[in-house]
Amino acid sequence: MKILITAALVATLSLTSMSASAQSTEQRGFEIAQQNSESNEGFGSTQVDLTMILRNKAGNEVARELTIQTLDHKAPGEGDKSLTTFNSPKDVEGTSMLTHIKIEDSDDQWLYLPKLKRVKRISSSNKSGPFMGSEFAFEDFASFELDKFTYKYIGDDTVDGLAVYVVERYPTYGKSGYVRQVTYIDTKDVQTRKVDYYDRKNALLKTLTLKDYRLYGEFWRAHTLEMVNHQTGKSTVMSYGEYDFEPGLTEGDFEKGKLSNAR
Amino acid sequence: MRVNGFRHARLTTFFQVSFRAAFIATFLTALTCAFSSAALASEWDASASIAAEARVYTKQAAFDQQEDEPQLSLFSTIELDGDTELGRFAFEAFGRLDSVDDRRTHLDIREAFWQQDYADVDVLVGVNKVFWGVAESRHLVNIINTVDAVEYIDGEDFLGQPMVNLDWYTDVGKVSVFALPWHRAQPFVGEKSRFRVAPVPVSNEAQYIDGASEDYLSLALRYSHYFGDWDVGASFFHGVSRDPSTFEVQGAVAQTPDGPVFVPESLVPVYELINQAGLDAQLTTDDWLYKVEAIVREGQGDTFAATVGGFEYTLYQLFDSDKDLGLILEYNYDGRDPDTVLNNDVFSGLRLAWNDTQSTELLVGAFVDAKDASTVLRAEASRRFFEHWTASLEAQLFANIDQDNVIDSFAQDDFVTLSVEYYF
Repeated sequence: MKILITAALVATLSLTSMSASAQSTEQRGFEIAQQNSESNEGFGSTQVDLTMILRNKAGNEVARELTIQTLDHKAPGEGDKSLTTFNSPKDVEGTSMLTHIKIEDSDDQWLYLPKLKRVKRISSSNKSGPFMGSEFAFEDFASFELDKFTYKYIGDDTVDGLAVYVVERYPTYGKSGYVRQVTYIDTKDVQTRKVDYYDRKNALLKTLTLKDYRLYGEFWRAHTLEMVNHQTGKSTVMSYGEYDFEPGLTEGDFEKGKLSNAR
Repeated sequence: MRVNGFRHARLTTFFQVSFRAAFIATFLTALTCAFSSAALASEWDASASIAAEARVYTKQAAFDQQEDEPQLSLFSTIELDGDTELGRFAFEAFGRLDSVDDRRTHLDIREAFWQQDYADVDVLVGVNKVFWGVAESRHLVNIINTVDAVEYIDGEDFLGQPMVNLDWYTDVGKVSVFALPWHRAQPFVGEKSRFRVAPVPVSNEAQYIDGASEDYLSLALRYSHYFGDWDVGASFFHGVSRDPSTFEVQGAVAQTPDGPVFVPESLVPVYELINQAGLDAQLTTDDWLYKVEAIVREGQGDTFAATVGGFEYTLYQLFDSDKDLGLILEYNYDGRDPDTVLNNDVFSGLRLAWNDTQSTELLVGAFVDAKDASTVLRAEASRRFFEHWTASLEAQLFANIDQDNVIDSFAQDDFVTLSVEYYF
């Protein structure tokens, strides 16, 4: 009897500890992601020029130039706003894409076509499609929003000699091309150093490495992002210029109506 | 009555002349500022493209003077855009040299404006292009610019329009006001060209009736905004119609054995004053876009309504590839007399995008008249190469055209066009 009770007690205890540890890995994962997200809280607005180098399996390269303007969300529960303008290739110069990120709903997105001066609302459900023929999908390129994922802390590791937390995240928005993403976030500055993307069949699809981090005031920005597609052998490098943290951008610069008046 | 009418006309003329003078003065001042400010803190961006095009017609021409030979042309666009302390200055010119048609050899200033932002209001003075609407098969509510019809019959090219434009941004949307001091008459192809609207060539002259004139001050107002998944626009236009509704037949009386006969020599496009109200809306839900445009117009004969509406559905990452396939279905109605293009026509189209580094794309579309089944087919494939070049191949086919359909005058104009464009 005593033995039985002890066994039952042990079983109960181990169950409790199991569920406690399960809760804590999810909680821990969320907290690390939250710390990472909060390190970028309140940046106001930024503007940056970047070059995107698309490399095929044979190693042939083409370059694309973009300018990205971003406005930090005003209140919790709101998403960032961004305006991406294509400066090259020359035949699409001036084409721009305005995105209002939504936490709960699908994002609002408009395309501006300068040749016709036409502003076109586009579907934002195309999350997993390639951005400008690159290895970045639209969802990889969008600014990170904490509440668009659930998390799980996996353990600790090192990336390029840096101690990192390994946190898995699972997209909660529809139409994602991924079943999970494994993020490597350094323990010191809590910045993302690497992401492994697993496709819908849970096979490793791509790896993103984020390098050349620089500090602007209190905000970190990576300046070299390399995405390697393991399944096709293609890769894309995004090489960022100097960030402007005081571009003087306001809510009005990210309005749909402004698109046709933009340069 | 006549005196009142005369006085009104005098007043209107006075207002228009002074508006025109003010427009020119402002525009010249702005240009002077642009050149002087080039020396000040400013940022200028210039770009240009040049293209060669060869078009082969596969059927014998319908009308005597029309050419059966391939039509070759060169065209170019030059753009200049500057951000200066005194505002933004933009310039865009388009020109084409055509081997067949003198009228298609033309130069047009598409843009030449000064623009400045003042808090919630943007002010623009000069020549510009403005696009309104959501539909793919017809740009029905789009009315500020005249179609550059010598370019092509698809209504995707527009002449630059002189204007004073105020855009006012509010929390509930954008309100735009336009004063349009000059009317740009629609250019028509010459007698040797294909795509002639009638056996008799259209004159280069325009006729203005019922109070309309080339320098009549047309006015337009537009409201646009979005509410959740809805994008909406409402517009109103008063002024000289951008497209002629009728043609005056000019000709001479010839003596024949059967007696005198009127021989038509040319058609003169007639422009009148119109009022037009327009509405456009798009609902965007995941992979489906639902679109509708509608207008009511008075001034060109009986008041009439017209509409275009339908949907666009996109299959993203077709069969697990990077390709997207868009399917478009739109219905066009126009309440003018049945002799109007797109009076009762269904448009179906598909757009296949490879999403590769060369932006390879294929568009195929067909207009089918719901009553007589006259069909216009069009396909367009394009691709970038060597980074600075694009190539495109277009084909157009007129099939099963009913003799009574207004499109019958184009029935022999099937073509294939290859063009190559270089971007600087």
